[in-house]
Amino acid sequence: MTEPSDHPTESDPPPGFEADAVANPFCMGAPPLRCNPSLDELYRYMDGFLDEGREAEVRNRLADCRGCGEIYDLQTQFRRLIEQRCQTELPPNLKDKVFGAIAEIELGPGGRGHRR
Amino acid sequence: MADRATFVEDTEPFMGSLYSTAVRLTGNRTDAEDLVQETYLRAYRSYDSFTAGTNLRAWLFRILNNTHINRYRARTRRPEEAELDDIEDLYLYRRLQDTSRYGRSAEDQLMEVFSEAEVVAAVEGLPEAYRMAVLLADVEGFSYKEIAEILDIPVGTVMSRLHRGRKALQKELYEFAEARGLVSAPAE
Repeated sequence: MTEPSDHPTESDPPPGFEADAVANPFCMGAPPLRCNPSLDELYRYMDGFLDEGREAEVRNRLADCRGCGEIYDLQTQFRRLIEQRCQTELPPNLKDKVFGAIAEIELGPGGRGHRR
Repeated sequence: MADRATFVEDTEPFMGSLYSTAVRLTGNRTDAEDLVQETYLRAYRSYDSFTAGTNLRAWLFRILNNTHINRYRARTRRPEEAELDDIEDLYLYRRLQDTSRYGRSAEDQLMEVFSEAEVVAAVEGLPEAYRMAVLLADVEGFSYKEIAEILDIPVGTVMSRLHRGRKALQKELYEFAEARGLVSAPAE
């Protein structure tokens, strides 16, 4: 961004105004870079579904804005929480059971087929 | 019929994640075992139609999902699947603010807040379509495009289900935390 000229434009935020001007209660960014990232967009970012240009913008935003960064960190933590708490260990006999059932198909009804 | 030894060798590494997903889908281990077994039997029968070099894991999950839907429809009649309403981002932001104040700012503070039983209850409480999207993305790490293929729905629908599902899950977990007095309800 270029340095402000001697003639400030209307879009320049007055000093001290930045913190109040944010749309997102977490965001500490200043206009015009103030952010209002929707969770949907953060999810698309997290899931690698943004185009390169937008991805870079969001990445910078997350690096620059502590508020947005916190939201994002918590979203990634949530994702890890779900991932780790939703694992169920495979019962030890299930593989034998499943592949045994498949072997039976091959042997035919009553298991009278020829073993290879 | 496909060569059994090849089929076993190729598909065996995925049984663990298929089983985990089956448990969350059916809500119990016995049905999950049956679902996994039927998935593998179907996969074996149609293994010749699987194109080598394409995504075998996604193919197996697609069969798991279809098998589950067929079994489920055959067994029970249930009213139309519930739709999740949009949850306002602001609602979640407020709770995030509250949660982030809870305890230390440790890497995995949420792990300490929520027990496995709570997370499982929240996940299993999601309507099935949303639950499957969340499981495929957040537990199995599939991309939007892969999930679209597994569930046979457009990518836009994947996003909508996944995002709404995640938000509903978080709302539910915040409510658990509130009920336990870990966080206070945000002031309006």
